[in-house]
Amino acid sequence: MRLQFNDDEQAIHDAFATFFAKECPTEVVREAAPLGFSRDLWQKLGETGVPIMALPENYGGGGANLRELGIVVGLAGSSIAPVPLVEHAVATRLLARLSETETDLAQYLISDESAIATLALRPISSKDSTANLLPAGAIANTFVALHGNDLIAVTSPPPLISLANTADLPIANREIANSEIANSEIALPDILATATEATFHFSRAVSEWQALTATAICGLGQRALQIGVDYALERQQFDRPIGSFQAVQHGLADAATELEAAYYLCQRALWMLDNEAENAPDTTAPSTTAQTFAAMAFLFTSEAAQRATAASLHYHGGYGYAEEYDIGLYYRRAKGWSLIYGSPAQEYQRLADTLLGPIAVA
Amino acid sequence: MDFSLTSTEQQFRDELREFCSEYVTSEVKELTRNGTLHNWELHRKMADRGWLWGAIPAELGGGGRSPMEMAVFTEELQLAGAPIDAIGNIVLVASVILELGNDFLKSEVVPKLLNGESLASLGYSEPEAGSDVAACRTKAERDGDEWIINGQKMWTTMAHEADFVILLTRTEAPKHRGLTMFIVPFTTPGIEIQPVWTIGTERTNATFYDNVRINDRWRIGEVNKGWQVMLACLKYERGFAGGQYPSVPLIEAAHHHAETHTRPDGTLLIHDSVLREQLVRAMIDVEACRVLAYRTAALAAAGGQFGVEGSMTKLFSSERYQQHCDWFLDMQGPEGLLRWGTPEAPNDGEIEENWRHAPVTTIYGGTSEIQRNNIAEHRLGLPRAR
Ligand SMILES: Cc1cc2nc3c(=O)[nH]c(=O)nc-3n(C[C@H](O)[C@H](O)[C@H](O)COP(=O)(O)OP(=O)(O)OC[C@H]3O[C@@H](n4cnc5c(N)ncnc54)[C@H](O)[C@@H]3O)c2cc1C
Repeated sequence: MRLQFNDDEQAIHDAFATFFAKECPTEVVREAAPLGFSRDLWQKLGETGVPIMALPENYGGGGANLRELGIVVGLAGSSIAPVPLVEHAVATRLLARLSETETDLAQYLISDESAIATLALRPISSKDSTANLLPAGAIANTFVALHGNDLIAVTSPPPLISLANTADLPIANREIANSEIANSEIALPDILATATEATFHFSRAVSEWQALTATAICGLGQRALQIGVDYALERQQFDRPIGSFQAVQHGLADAATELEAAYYLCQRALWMLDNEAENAPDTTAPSTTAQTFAAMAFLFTSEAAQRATAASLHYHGGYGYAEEYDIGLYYRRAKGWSLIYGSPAQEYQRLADTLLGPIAVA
Repeated sequence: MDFSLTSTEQQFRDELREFCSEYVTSEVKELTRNGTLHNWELHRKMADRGWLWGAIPAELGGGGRSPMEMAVFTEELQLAGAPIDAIGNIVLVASVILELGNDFLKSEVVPKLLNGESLASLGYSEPEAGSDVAACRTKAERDGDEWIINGQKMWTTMAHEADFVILLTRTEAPKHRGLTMFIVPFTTPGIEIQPVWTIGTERTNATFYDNVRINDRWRIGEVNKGWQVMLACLKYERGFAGGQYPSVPLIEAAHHHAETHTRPDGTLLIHDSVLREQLVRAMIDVEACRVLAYRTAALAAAGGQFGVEGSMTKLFSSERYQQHCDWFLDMQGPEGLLRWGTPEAPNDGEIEENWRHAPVTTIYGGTSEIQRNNIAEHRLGLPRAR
């Protein structure tokens, strides 16, 4: 077991820690709102090859595994970077799995190199003709969705305006054209897979999204905690730093503990998904599959990061509530990046069906 | 990052699973209900397999199982619900003697502990010195080749079964600098052991030392350097203290109960969505404990310091365990109040027993507040609060 970075991983970490520190100070995050997207940052990230780093090499990608991509994703999370890195990586990996060649894949991303792909996280009924609250929906050129029995890819011009939301997420509703409606201006979707093949690929992609998003949220939470610790060391009341008060210390220590667990849950989820992809056996004898573990890590990390950002904001006193302070940016995104997936209560019930068996109908 | 086990670690896990399924039976677990969380028969079987020697680091002359093998060892025993407290004490005391003790202690005490003959108790806490253990008052005075010990220890768990106690004493006034550590055989005249019954199933003890005379060769470490020995003791807890998986047998019991008991409307409890969420949350928390335990072991294997990580694991697993105990006792409704031995007690009162045990887990082995102090100071770099 090696629960620290090897040299390659450390090199990725160091390079991108520098990248995000330089290219994504919180001014960039603020300027990107309310759309929730910085094209400039996305282009710079594109130049580094990160958006395609975890695509297979024979599809023109970097051939990295999810753990390596996760290092960058975690750092993007620390900087609450307004770029759809996770959505794009997951959707393009999915498209690659279902495209025979690099050229087949390229058709979805034709417009230019900075074109964006995304994934609808919830299955859409065949009767519905929109993908609602689509993550990165305001900016993506192509989205993949499970529509009825079909896994489809829709390519259409992005609206470039997002539904106003608490976390400045670039979400939008996107239309799915229907062959029965005449003269639709939008191209018909491509069907990538159907029936069990469709659900198989869809659920794998959702699990990748959960594990990677959890990793981003964990980075977000860790940075928020650090912001709180720095503030607690600096702010003086009663003639001493508020960080010397035990009540404050213990709240921060609890947050640190939960985030520590969250971090390694995320790492393990990514490792299990990498293993699953390579058909490698899991020698640690887990009680669950990689996909279930990804959902567990996602739920745990979402809550840990939300508690950490809330604690950190609270220990700022009134200033935490002021728009000017960065902690509020983290607080809102910890909620938004988590809740966009869906209600946690529903996710717990879905997991219960897997872990405890479904409710048998008498 | 790589979470895979080596083939040696994996084989050890398989061996442990086989052992536990054969020997950690419900009868064995029931025998611990006399209050002593220990079973001699099981203990000797483990000693016969060389597992006690194995738990001692190689550089001290032990079997040198790696930190990861030890993590697997404590994990599997806890998952099976086997008592591990006594093993933890043995490994700790034997390791400290091998690192800091004299030849006499090495030949007189260590083999008895590691061959499964003898147990050892930890004599740190006193009536007036708990979290602030360096406030120890039990006095040791030099008398030629001998020492005379007077005082009282509190919470000397396992003293009534053990042959030895590692005893923290005061030899001079200044706080951390005036402490000296001894290994004391319980057969030494002047020692009295009184039971302290707890609200849990376990029994612990108050131990009294009245002009207890022991030869200087029972001293471990230098005079007035007892605090260094104390730090070594903490180092050799090797993941035993407190445990990381108290919730696992509890969750199994709760799941079993929910699948076999109905709600007033006749449907099974397991169909209750609130309970389903609680079970899933508890299962996720167990995975969190597991990665924290592995992280601590991996750090130890890499030769790193792991004090803060150990604190995090202990804090998290005990705090969540208390929450789980509350959830699952409540699940049982009033029947949950019934204790083992009562025929109507669901699942022979297993959840109720866990619930009574739960409070101590955030107290012993360093309270949650002490763990949080440690994390705040050493991870977050906040000013020392004490
Ligand atoms: C069943 C059982 C078995 C035990 N077995 C052993 C054993 O085998 N050997 C042994 O030596 N000891 C043993 N102990 C003792 C145990 O380690 C102590 O109980 C523990 O360290 C706490 O000390 P205390 O009970 O004196 O509580 P105190 O130290 O008096 O603490 C009381 C409360 O004050 C809080 N507090 C104390 N200091 C601080 C601080 N600096 N900041 C914030 N809060 C603080 C604590 O968290 C706690 O909530 C055992 C205890 C029990 C209950």
